[in-house]
Amino acid sequence: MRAALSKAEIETEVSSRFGDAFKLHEKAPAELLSSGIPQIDSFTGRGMPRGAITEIFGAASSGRTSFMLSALAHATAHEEVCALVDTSNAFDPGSATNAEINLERLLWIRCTNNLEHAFKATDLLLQGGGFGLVILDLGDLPAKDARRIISSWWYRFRRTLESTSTVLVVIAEESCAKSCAALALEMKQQAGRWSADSEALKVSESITNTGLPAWGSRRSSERDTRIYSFGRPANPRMNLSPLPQANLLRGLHFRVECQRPLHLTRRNEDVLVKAAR
Amino acid sequence: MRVPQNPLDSIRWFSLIFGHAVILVPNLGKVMFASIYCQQPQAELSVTPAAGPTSRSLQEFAYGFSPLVEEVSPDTVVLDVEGCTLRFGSHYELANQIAKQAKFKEPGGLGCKVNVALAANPDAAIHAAKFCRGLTFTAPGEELTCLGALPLKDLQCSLVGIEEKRAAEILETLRLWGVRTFKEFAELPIAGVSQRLGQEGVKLQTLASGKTIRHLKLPQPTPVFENSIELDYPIAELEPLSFILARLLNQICASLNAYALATNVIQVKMKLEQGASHELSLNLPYPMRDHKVFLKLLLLDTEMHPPPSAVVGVAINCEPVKPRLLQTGLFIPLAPEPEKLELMLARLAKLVGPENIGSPELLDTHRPDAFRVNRFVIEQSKKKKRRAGRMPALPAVSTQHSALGTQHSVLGFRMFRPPLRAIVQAEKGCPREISAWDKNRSVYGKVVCVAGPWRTSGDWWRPDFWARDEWDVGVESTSKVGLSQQFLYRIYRELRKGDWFVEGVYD
Repeated sequence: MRAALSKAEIETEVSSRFGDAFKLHEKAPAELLSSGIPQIDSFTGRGMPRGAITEIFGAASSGRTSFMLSALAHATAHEEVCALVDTSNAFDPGSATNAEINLERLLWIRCTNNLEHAFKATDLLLQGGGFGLVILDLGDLPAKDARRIISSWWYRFRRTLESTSTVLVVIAEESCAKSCAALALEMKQQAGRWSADSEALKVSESITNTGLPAWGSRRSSERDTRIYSFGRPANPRMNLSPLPQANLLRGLHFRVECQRPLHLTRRNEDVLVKAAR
Repeated sequence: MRVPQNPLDSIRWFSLIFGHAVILVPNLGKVMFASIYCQQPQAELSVTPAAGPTSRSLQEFAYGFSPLVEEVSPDTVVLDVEGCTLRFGSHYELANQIAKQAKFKEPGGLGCKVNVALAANPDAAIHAAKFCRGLTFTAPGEELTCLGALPLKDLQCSLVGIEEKRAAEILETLRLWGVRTFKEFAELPIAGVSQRLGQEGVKLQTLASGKTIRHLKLPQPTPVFENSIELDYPIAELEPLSFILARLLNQICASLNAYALATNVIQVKMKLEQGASHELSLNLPYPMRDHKVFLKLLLLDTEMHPPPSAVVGVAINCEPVKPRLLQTGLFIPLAPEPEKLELMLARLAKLVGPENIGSPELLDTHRPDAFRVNRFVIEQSKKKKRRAGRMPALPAVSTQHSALGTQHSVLGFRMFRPPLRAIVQAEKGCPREISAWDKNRSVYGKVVCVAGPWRTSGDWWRPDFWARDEWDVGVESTSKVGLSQQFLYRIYRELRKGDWFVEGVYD
């Protein structure tokens, strides 16, 4: 502590003579690729750095896949050729279509839970070159397995990417690439957004006392007594289950924290993504 | 100009010869073309028994005088007779010989009268042969003397590649102007013709003047790109086989290169011991002719589909197509090179299996998770290219995107394939607690929020029909260290058996 204080004192004294010599400088990337989410771009320097690794990590339901779809939609809309290395075969083409991804410009590689295949496929894609965005999806990989990934893979990817304009996005539950990533974002779930908040709801008196707790920002007085009906009404002839359309999931609110690079002034941002069925 | 007493006196020769190309330049050298036209109608010729001359026989007859023959129509051919004077003495004697020999019956002649015309360019020779009886010599620069009196309706517009409809329009316009003959058309000022009739008019005027410059369209034999080899001893390993394939592919690619062609289909037929055969087929999305790429692709394919026994013979053939022409631009984003991409896709297919690689496509059905994987091909975007000034790809960071609904970001969904069978405790049909697991993942906890059900069903006429109630649930789980987390899942109850499944997680 004492040493740190004296270092700070020295820096304060000499900073007037040497300018910002003690300021931490990092090499700014030449080109950036937008993530498609303006809130994130606003504090990451307008996108993900090309020729480098970007790491997105967080627990399930934290918005990682939403980020991935958004980045893919933006890249394919700008005629970039993209590739997705899907380790656990979790990619949903329906969600991708809702996100307006041009699927014709997306190469989807399913590795059926084979981690070695996923890394070899990524290596082949990066060595081949020409892709604007390559996504390595390790989202369903348990954290203990992610920790076993040898670091030489990441160094190899970083070295391969250096001379290209490809963005490699790694999606995982925990941080894997560590210092090899030029940009690391941690995603955290804030809250779900349900259509029950809408004012255009109709009260369905026939269905009460379900005892379902609310989630999000519904008023506490309505919490346990009413379930809202929204959108298309249930067809009475069909004899559906006792609940008609209850409160629908409209979106997800999540928080993005920038873990790397360290020089960014703003460290986090709240983002809302909407659900589409 | 009809045949003079001494026709050779009136002929001025001109041509420039650079290597193999002959460039016609007036008054600089000599090039002469002869056209033969059968006076007897083709219908009469074809019904003549046994010796009935057909278009083929007219062409064969012409080959007796020159190796360079263009078939214009079934009853007309054009010959390049340059150098024929060495054999026949003079062009006059050559024309005489053609006319005389044509009168003879089979096998040496055609058995009919022919018109023969010699001119400095093929089109003038054709017009002269078709519309001037007997022998006609047209001196260079004096084509109009011979052809000028011909009516415009005799102009062979197809010789300069003008569509029949457009040519008829132009000729009708000329008729309305009072232009009736070749000469009258040729004397019109070229600038005025260009302004009023466009480039088609200029081409027709050049044709009427007898001043077109072109080479003969010689019939080319259809090249066959195939190669085969019979081995002295059987080959059972890939490495020695690769040398054989490389040799064959080298020769085929050299042939393709010579004809300025490429291929997108390569078929390999391997003759095996005991008389069996093994076939491989390489279908490429883009035409290529790089033998190294072909060799690597074939080796990868052979590794994935090895022959059942040793190989004693290999035959390769390919379908020639025109090479791909691509206009690149500074503002077009980078894309993988086609050859590299094909090689990479083949390697990836070998790694993860060909069914696990490609471009996804949603099927036209409401069945959940219905998609197919197509072959990945990079197509040129059909969108109009943006102007350079508007090209910046990055959207401006502004507040207009901050509100929900103005941005394209949508909630992502991660599928569990196959769906996770779940044990669900329900109250009045509504899920309250869920528990599901397999070797890779587990889902358990109390349902804290729920949305649904969405009842969907379809394909009731098929044995694999589907009917289910979908729910979106928020599940609260407690981790080992005591932290409480909430996850959003999509679960469904299959209505046929009443089983519950977790389809995936919202992420």
